Amino acid sequence: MFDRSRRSRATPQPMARDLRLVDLQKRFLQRGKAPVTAVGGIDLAVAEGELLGLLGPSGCGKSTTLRMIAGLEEPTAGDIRIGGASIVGRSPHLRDVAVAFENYALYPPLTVEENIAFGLKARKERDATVRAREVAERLGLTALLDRKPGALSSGQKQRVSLARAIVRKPSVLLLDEPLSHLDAAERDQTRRELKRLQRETGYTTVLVTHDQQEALSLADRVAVMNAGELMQVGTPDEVYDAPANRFVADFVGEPRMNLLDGRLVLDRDGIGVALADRVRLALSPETRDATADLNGRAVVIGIRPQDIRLGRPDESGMIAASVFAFEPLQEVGRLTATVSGVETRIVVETHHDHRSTRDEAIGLAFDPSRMHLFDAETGERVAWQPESTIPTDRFQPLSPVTGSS
Amino acid sequence: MASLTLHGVRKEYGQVVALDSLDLDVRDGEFFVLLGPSGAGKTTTLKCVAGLEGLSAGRVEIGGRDVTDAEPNSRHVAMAFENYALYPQYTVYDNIAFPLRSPRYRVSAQEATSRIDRVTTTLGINQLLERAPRELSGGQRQRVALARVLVRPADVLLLDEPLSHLDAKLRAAMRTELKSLGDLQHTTSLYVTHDYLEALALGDRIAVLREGKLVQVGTREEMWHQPVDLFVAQAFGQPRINLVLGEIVRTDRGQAFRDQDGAFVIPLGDVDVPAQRSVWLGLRPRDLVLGESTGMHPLQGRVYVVESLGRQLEVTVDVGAQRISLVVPRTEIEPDTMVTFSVPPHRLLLFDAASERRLEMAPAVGHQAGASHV
Repeated sequence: MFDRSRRSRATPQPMARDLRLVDLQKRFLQRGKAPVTAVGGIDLAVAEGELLGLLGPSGCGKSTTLRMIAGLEEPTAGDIRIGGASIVGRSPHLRDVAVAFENYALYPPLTVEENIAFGLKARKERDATVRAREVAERLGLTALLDRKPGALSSGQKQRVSLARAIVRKPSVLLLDEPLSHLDAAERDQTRRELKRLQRETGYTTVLVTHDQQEALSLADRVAVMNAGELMQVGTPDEVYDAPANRFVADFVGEPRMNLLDGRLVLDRDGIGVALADRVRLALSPETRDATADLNGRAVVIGIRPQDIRLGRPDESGMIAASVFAFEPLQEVGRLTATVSGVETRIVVETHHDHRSTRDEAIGLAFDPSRMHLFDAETGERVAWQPESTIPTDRFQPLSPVTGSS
Repeated sequence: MASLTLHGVRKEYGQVVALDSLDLDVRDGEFFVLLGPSGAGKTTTLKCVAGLEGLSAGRVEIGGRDVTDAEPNSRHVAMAFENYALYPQYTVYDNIAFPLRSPRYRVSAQEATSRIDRVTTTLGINQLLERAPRELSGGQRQRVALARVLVRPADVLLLDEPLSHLDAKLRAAMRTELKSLGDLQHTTSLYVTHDYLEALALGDRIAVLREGKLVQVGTREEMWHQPVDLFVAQAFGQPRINLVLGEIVRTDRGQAFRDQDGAFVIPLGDVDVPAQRSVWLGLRPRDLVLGESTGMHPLQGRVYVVESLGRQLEVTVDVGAQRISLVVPRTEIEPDTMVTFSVPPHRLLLFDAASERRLEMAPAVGHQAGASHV
């Protein structure tokens, strides 16, 4: 997993430096009200040349974090260091940080070339036009240099905004929801170009987004935030395969992970999770150590729709279920099932040529090697070391999972 | 319930032709989806059926009755608007019950309560009945607007992007709810969306609309496997279908596709495709396979970008001047390395470059006998 992050990471630019956030906090004081904690003390290290995706729902503190790095907000406490040196208190233009904003913020009366060169000229740097043209070529903007922003598509504006940020050759590049205003086709292409560009140019980059797919696609590592706190930091595979808590499990991944409330049961039948009176999921024996303290406690089972196998309701090892809805989406099917006594509906991703009808009786088998277990009280992941990895497409359920036998 | 027919419907706004000789035939009880980008004329079509817009030409029939000049309230249609249009001063319950209190429906109080109970339970808003609209989230408001349409007896339901204001995850969940609503699935419905997944999931049939004109009407399988043109091929699928411009050439082993610089060549075998000056080849990203595979044609390219989709990877590969997108199971794969991937011959699509219409690839006459082994 670590290999993967290293593999896709860019060769750092000579001027790229690492970025560290040390116990960074931001509280907003409101007259007559209790202060609001937007960022509750986060520690984060972004390596030279790395692209870190800061992912979370609106209001989670990700934009405030970005604004503190850019110098648009002062932290209440903590430190921000670039290449080991603190930048807190420095004015934004002396931080060696460039931001490409969600709304582009281009100057309408200026041409693309003038927009890109603007910052350099304002600082009376030499070769402003030459450098602007170099960056424009890199981003495929050469043919558009004489146009005004009004004559550009959203994707083109996004690239100009990006060009203006990197022409300054900053130590750290900040991207604020860079793809959110693009239509689906433009987003695919711009995302690809952005990833390639970051890899080739090697800027230390922080990307802020609310879109989990964007974060997984682009980032070397993803930092998931919620309510001002860091929930998990890891490679896309780590965050997807082993979510640290219930929030991350629910937030990352499309289709969404099934999260089912149950009670941990440890008895002579082994370790299992009772979802209802007569519905029990067997956990693999490897979980014994990790679950020893949880007997009888409320837990949450997580399983992704791709990790549930369909069968007949009377087949051994199957949970009897009934089809609530079936959506044939051509590339895959999406089946939603109900299990008697279980309140939450279960979503299964099926093979593209599967067909089901409403109220059809079916069986569900959960891949035990792909099940996630969370403590219902804390939401934290209950981790265990699997002895072996079972191929997902051909797994066999370990033991009967309906409790009546 | 009733069928719904549009004959040569035309709608002009000044100089702008919003709908151009539109013919639609929605069967009794059919759930019919209109799919298209914004500005295609989808909402205008709904308004013409509802009677909120007069026609410039053409005819609308509901249940065989010409309603072209009928007042909206005599058409027996119910419409859910994209912007909800809830009464702010009423509770959720009263908003939903409002149409049932109209003397026209003469629904008993008991019948009204049971209808409202059933629909609000299915839509998951039965806990919110005493709230005011301003106390609801956007997604909840959208569900209330939908409930108000579903409780009302109507011959035809008109639904204008009812899920468009929801975030991706809630949208997927609500799509499932709509699919499970038996009443909805068995009431003649015209459903407008720009989301191809909604069209595939919900539509008994789908019509693709572009700039006021109907491009194709058919089942989800026809849309996916036999799109009439490039526009329809690109309207379905994410990532979008790969398109490569090239020509059909004759080789000693039958026909082949070749792109302009000759780096991208795929043998088509003995298919009856006329030698074209220029064609588009369409390949869906999930139909392509990494590595060599029997019965498939291998191609080599350089990896441009590798992106995680969670369970899968999207790999972008440059083959000569062509940038091809593949969706594959997770694997170790590095940017800037050379890879081989395979193209399944039966899944590729060809389009005439000039007309952008799809070309049929029937087996060549004379080879059919040999090919049709059982």
